[in-house]
Amino acid sequence: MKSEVYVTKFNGSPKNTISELLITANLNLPTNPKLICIKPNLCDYRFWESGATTDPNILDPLLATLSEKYPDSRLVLVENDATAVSADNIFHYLGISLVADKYDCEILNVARDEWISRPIKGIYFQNLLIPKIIAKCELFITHPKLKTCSATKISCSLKNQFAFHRRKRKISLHRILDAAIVDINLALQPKSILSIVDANICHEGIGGPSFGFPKKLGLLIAGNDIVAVDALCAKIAGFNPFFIGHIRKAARKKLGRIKYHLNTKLPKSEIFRGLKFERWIYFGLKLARGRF
Amino acid sequence: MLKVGLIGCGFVAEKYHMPCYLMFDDVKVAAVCDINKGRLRKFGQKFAIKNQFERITDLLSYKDIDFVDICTPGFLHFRHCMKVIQYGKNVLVEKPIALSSKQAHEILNRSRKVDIKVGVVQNYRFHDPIIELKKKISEGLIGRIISSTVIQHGGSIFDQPFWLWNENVSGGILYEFGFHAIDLQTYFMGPHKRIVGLISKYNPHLQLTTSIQALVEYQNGSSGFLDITYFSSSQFLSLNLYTTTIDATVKFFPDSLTLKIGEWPPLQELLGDLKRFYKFAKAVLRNRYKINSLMPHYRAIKAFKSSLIKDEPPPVAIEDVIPTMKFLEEVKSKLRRSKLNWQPSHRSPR
Repeated sequence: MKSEVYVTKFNGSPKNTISELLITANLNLPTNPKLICIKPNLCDYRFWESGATTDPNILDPLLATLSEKYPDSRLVLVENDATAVSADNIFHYLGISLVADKYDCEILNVARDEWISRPIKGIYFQNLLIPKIIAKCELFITHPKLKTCSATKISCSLKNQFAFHRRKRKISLHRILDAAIVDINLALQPKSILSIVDANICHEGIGGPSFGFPKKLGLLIAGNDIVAVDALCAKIAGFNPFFIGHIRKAARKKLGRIKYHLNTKLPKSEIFRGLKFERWIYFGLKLARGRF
Repeated sequence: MLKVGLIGCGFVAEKYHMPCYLMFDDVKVAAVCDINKGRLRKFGQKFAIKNQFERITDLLSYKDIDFVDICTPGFLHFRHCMKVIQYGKNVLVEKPIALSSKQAHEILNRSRKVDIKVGVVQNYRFHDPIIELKKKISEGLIGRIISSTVIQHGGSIFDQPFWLWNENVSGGILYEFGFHAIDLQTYFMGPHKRIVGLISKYNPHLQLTTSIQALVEYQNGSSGFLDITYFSSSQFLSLNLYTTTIDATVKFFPDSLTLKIGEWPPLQELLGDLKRFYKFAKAVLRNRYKINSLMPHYRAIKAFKSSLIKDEPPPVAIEDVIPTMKFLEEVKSKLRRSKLNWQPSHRSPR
């Protein structure tokens, strides 16, 4: 059994591309959710053109489409504090709040909201705190950027939720990064999940996920199975998904399937273009950190 | 075949323009002109150009010319440009086109009236790293520019032609030495809004402004720092652009473009320099260094030639250099003020 993953290209207006994807694709979406949470990718104080953070020009049509499709739903953009990020100000700094205001979408720093405890059979954790709003929402949309990452090779849907670890200094979790990513995804397990990956301006090179080089792929990827979405994204970036620790471990924990069915009208040459990644530095760093 | 009339047979014409013309199959230097008879004969002999004139009007009266290339000293460019336009010939002129924006506007208006093309040889805009950087910016791979620094440090100018020594005539440090650095900064940052602060040093013994440091605010909200110094301990030209995505460093002679993101450890610094050295060594070993150093001029002339053939605007038209001219003018006006305030210092350096 394979999970469906949809890929389309940004042609002309991003609004048309996104609404076409959300309406025509056979995505599993709730009919009338009261609460929709959207998790952008705001990992650092880097503007969208760097390819490191959510592009307001893509988020805008996404929110427009959602507010058209679900006029009665409450839309909330959620982000958490991170080692070098305060979610109190990053929405404003990166121009995300301007877009949110346009569509009456709330912005929320979950670090200041309520958290609940979730017991899990994780790889490392047996219990994790998760934001209450994620547990409550009927539709959770993870909206990551497709990026290379010096620690995990790629950063995409699964890693986007790493932000929901309660502690601010998440860098301390880097020594068990793959396990921490899988465990938080196990703990979150919202009622309905959708991944919409912005692979328009991506990030390549060993400097990712914050300081890589921008690379334009012009793609939009979506699917309900975030493991399958990440597996496809890994392929697009030029990696075998099986050799990406957190994707393999997530599949083993039955968060989703590595095998996907690619649903697209685009030729493969336009999709699988690859992102540069200095593997020798990656392995050198791993060796230096004693993580083999 | 396009035929060129070359005015001025000095260093720039001999070492840069003429070797470039020799590389083209469809361009020929048909006539040359120089006020210095000896230099004119020598130049004519070296490049086998029969039509030699001592007076510009004689060269301009020579009918078999498609465009005129002006390689005279900078302070003469305005006068020579106007003369060539008067005779209805297209013009390619070395930098600076003039010593004020008023003069530049005058050339622009006159050339428009008689439908003459005027191209400026801003050869630094045609260096490999500058072309590459501009391309990356236009492709959106380099974000919005937040600030820039340009530093040009040079040695003594007393090995240069004597007209350069007098800054009242030549325009000195601004129009001759630092012109390219200033033009590059304006090329990337756009027109300036104001000069926030400026410090200059005038040496009364040399009768020269020897150093200018300026902090500039640009119309697009970005800022720039400029440092132009003569008689400095080390000589180099470098341009740094700090953007929202990638920081870029351009070094010249040998040219290199380094793009930086995140922390910049010594190993990457070393790799960058090794790349630069490798490129330089490869060019030297292949005996290509001299030809490579001609490339910016070659590209500038080639682009102008194409604009004439295709009847398109010149690659660097007068309008493109007017922001640089306006900036230079403002710096110049501030220099005058700082000169008046100058007080000699008799303090021993030790």
